[in-house]
Amino acid sequence: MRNKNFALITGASEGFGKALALECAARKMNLVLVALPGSGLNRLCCYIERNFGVTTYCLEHDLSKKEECHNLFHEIRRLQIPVNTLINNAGIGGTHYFDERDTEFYYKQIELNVVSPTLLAHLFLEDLLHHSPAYILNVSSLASFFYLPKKQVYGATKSYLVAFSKSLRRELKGKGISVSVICPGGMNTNPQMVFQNLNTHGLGRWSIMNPEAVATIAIDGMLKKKELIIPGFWNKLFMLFDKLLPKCYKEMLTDKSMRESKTISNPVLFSINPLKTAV
Amino acid sequence: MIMKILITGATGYIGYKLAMEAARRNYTVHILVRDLQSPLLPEHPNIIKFKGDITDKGSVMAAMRNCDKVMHAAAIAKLSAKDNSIFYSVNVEGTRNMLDAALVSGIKKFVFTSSGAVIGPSGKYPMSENDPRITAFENDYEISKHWAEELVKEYCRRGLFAIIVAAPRVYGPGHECNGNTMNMLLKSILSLRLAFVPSCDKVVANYAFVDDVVNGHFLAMEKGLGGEKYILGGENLSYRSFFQTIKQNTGKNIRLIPMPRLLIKLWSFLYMCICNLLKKETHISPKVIDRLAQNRALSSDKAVRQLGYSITPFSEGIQKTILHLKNKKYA
Repeated sequence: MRNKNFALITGASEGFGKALALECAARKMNLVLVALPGSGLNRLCCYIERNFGVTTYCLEHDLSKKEECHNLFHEIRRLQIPVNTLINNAGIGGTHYFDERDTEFYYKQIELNVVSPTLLAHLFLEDLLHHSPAYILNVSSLASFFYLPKKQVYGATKSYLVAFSKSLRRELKGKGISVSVICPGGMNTNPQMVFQNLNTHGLGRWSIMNPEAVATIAIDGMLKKKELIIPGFWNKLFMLFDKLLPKCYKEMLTDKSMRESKTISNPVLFSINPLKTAV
Repeated sequence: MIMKILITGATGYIGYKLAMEAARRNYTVHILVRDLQSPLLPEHPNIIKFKGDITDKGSVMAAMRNCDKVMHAAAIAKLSAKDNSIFYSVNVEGTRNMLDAALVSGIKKFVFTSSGAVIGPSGKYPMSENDPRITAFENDYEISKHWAEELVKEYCRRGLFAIIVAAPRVYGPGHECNGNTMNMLLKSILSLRLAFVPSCDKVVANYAFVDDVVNGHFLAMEKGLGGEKYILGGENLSYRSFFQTIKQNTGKNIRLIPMPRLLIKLWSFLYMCICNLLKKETHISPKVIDRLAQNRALSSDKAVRQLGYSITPFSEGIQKTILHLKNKKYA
């Protein structure tokens, strides 16, 4: 039987979002992919339709603007797309000291990482209830558990998603919507990240995963209705350490690695493509 | 009027052939080489040698003087290196020097040789130029070539007429060097009279005959559209048909021994350890074996349609290659 329902994935043009889209397509889910205008989403849609034979819509919206979240919702209404899976993946990352970015950056980061998933979950709630069994998957981060320097706002936005997901999950229990949250560690999401990860040494490097592998775990976990998904052996181990080690040891360990971690950037890209390094 | 062309990477597998072909076509060929005494230099009356390095912009400018066209084929073409920063200084920064110089010197056509590795593994169908990459980048080589392509596109926006061509696994008569792993494989099959066929023998990859790739460069220079990328590939073959075709064309009794992938991986791991102990550089590692187990089918349709690119059948290309290796007394 052909699947009639659709999975909505935000931030689907690159990195983990793209991997999630490919993973869902491989499982014969129809897709609504959302990403920023001009991010090459069309090419991905064409590829997915041709290779997996699923119906794919590609919609371009800047979800850091709340009107755009509403526009997206109305557009999907208008197109009468039955959405039964909402994957909130779009987000802005970054590793830098608090004073290294201006207020505008943090405002945008909070809008995209916190406000947009909340609005989308609220807007699509009725549709999801209507097309149950339905799923919400929020993409958080391992940084939501470790209060790392250089990850202040990012980590906090991701902690919000964990708390939000767990609470909403309890609320929607027995109503046909399962809410899951995934907390990946470092991933090879784009060439810049792979470059950085190839130049990272020590423990951090072992835990780096490819987004394809994490996407499989994510969708598996979502369909199995898991509450919290931690992908990979090393990341699970970090979580265990977090429970076992006293606070002072943990801080000593993470402090060292975070202070050493620089955003290694390729000087070339600064001059040719400042957009790419902003995220 | 005689056209002048600068070709980089002329001591390499593809670059050498490009230089010789350009010379044959009556171009005045400038080549930029690091070592004027290199035994790998192309020799032809039309070829003028310039000593220098693409990482040194001054030498690039000097070699490019009075040229109309550029073929930039120089690169670190291997999957790993002791010092991985050379991938970025040569493949990315070197390319930027070339592009900068080309823009300043008013070069009319710039052809950049990229790699199928940037496109990555394929899905159900062979990948074409417009398909997105479906897995993460795996190594410094892939990233450096991807960034170099981004740079080329950026310089196109600034007004340079540049074309990207992408070559997959290339085989055929030519230098024995880093870029030419296919000939090394053929040589060892011919001398050992056996080949290990990985158990994942249905895995498909693309194999391009070097003469096609060289020809494709000139077609791209003549007919290619600025800012476009063209895959210059060959046939898509599974390992099974790849080894079968080689066997049929050697005229010898070659034993094909099936080998489980895990065993190959184990061997590659041990080999890598031994090389590390002996401080010898090697390109074999379990990661490379994993790479070889991915489908990497490519479609050259765009080049065929828009450039008139033609593909030599694999059996014909392999016959020529084996003949070449036999003449060089490898078999």
